[in-house]
Amino acid sequence: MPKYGKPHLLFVYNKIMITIQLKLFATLNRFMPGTDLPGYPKEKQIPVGTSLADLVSELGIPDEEVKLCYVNGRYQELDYILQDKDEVGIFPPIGGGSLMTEITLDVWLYGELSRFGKEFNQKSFANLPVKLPVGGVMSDLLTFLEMPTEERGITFINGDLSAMPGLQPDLAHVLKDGDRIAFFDHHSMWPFQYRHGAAMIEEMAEEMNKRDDLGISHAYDK
Amino acid sequence: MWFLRINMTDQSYKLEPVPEEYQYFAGRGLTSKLIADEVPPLAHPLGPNNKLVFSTGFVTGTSAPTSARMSVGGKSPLTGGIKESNVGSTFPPEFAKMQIKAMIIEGQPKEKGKYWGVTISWDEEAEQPLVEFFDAGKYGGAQDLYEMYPKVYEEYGDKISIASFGNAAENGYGNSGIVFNDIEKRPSRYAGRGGLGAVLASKKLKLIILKAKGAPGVEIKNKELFDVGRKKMIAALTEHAITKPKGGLNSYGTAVLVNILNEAGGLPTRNFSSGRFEGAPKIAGEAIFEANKTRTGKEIYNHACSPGCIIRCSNTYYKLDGTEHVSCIEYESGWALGANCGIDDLDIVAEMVLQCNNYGLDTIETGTAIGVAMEAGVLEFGDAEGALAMVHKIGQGEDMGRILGSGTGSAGKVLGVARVPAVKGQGMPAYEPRAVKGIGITYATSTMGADHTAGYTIAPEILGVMGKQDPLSDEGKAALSQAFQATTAFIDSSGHCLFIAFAILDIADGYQGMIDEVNGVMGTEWTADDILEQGKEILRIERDFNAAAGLGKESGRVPEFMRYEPLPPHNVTFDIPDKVLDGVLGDL
Repeated sequence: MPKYGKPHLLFVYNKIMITIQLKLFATLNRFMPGTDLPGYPKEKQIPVGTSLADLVSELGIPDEEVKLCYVNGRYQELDYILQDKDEVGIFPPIGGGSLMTEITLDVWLYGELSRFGKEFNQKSFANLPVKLPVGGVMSDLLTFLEMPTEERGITFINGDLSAMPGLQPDLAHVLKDGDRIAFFDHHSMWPFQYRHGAAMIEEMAEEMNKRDDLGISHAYDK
Repeated sequence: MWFLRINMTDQSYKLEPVPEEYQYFAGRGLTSKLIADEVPPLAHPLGPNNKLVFSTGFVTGTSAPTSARMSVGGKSPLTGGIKESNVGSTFPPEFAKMQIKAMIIEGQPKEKGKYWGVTISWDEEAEQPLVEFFDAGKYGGAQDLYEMYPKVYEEYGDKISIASFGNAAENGYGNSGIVFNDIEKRPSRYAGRGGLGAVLASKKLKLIILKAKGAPGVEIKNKELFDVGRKKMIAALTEHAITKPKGGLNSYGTAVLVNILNEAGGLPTRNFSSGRFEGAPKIAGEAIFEANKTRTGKEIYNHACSPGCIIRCSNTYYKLDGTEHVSCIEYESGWALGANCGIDDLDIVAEMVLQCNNYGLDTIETGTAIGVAMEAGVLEFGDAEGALAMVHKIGQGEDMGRILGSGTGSAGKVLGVARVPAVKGQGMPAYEPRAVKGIGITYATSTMGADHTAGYTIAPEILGVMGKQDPLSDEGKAALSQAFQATTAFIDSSGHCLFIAFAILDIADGYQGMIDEVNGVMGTEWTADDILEQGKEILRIERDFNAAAGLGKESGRVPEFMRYEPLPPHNVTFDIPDKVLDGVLGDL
């Protein structure tokens, strides 16, 4: 750490530097000397414009030892450009001693579906953490919840619309650690007029564009 | 059919035959056309040259389902432009049954501080409406509407319908509605937006009381066609998941949208600084339903706000002891006074809604103005007791309350706030334009200022006519917004509640049902294209009035902060280009 001034104002090798919080998990810890505990965060300065791939290479980690990278709790591809104050976690492949054999989802069940939240049921809603193996998809989550897919109506993944009544293109959607998944019952509704121009997952956008009405509907279950 | 002119300068009235050029307009079409023709665009909204026009839709007063709606129009003290505010009550069908096509309130008494009332009843001998003026002094001046309404019923009988205003209007607020009774005689149904209550108060007409007994009812030119249309409409409404009995609206009310918009990242939170509110599930429709179940021991489905409605979306919220607290906590109301102020206490939100009804305030404008005051540091986000106290200050016209009562845009100016969620000075309702771009286009371009009811259905076949533009593209969104706004202008003229649009967007037969009903009443042969054209004509009339009043296309923008502040959780800005916005009403 520099002694004076704010890191982002320092010019090193004629480059503006940014600071990230870096966590190297399990066996990768050996690439970050000075920390004893795997996954313990350490501040690191990197030049503006550094990608995850650049970072991995700079740390000297062989490509085959990197399985997953998370930034601020979200999975990111290696071409992601790091931003000041990002929290970066890098995991080795499963079986390589990784802590990361499962993902944790933030699941919200609304209205009548709150009963599938079991002990987390607060009557009008339930909010529960759900752990799935890495690579788990929407249908795995439904199986875990013991919720038949036809019970759910409107569904969101991180605020992106992923299903509507009668239109469920998200069953094979791969879920990521930290995803927020929300399910609504069939009394719930989201009229098109209050929905057009809102975010949806790619599978949903494709499905809507395929339809004759281009998705301009309130109901898809006819 | 008559035009009933009530002149408040000398408390006189006139019944006029309806001129030819107005015969094929009703509801919003008629209020906007009359305002554009008779009110100078630069008239002061609270001066003697503004007028207030009441008109029911084409099918109001008939047996068409969910059609007890009325438009009230005038020049708005809130936006400075034309305004149509729509309301459901027992009042509209009673009005229509007396064959009054429009009631025009004009002039202004010179005498200060004196309030008048009128009763409008059916004169069976003369076979026309009879208007009688009375001194309404005892009902004027800082009265709680929940106390005043029962007194009016006591004096004039149970079978009346009432339009009035509260203390907010007497203070001349841009935030003041015209209050109508619901079926249970509560003062809870509002032509709420745009400050039309203050216009009525400026005319000193405190009470408009209808007694339609003996009135002949609405003339239906082609009964057979009307019945065909009516059956199609009933079938669509009772079949569709959103509008059917025990469907979405009947179970959870409009507040069902709280959790949905929250999950979508489009629930404006803490004065539009985030799209997600951690307390949302506590103030949502599902929470209202469950609280009622716990407190009353039974599942309570919603009731009709007005006679003949089969959607029945109006909720009632109960207190801990099982007695009624308030009806109704709409999505917009619960959001404005809840999430937008960072408040997640449903009981206090309910109390604020009740007090808004009591003072004659628009719940949306109240919540957005308090949000701006919180932004300015007048009180803290999340301060539920403080917000409730502020509602009382607004209602009673105390210091800061008077500033907030003027409306969201002007309060933002006075308080020196840059993040002011308003268009044309009118506070934005409960959908974040950055997360839901389509509604942002409507907010920006609507002739009404930021209005969530300005962009409703469009029949799928008309979409075909539009050339199937990709609704996800900017141009596609603009084209959709224009088509939505035009169809909405017609539904607002039909006499139906806008919520029929949920069913008839998906069920084409229902859409045709609406057209058949109107043709049945009017004896016309309008097609889907014709009603879209009438909708466009209404928008042109409103757009041109606004331009002449100084609200040209530059007034059709979302507030600038939405273009440079990314909104969590999606971290998006509003990125629709100005030329696309200009095209929405420019290309009519």
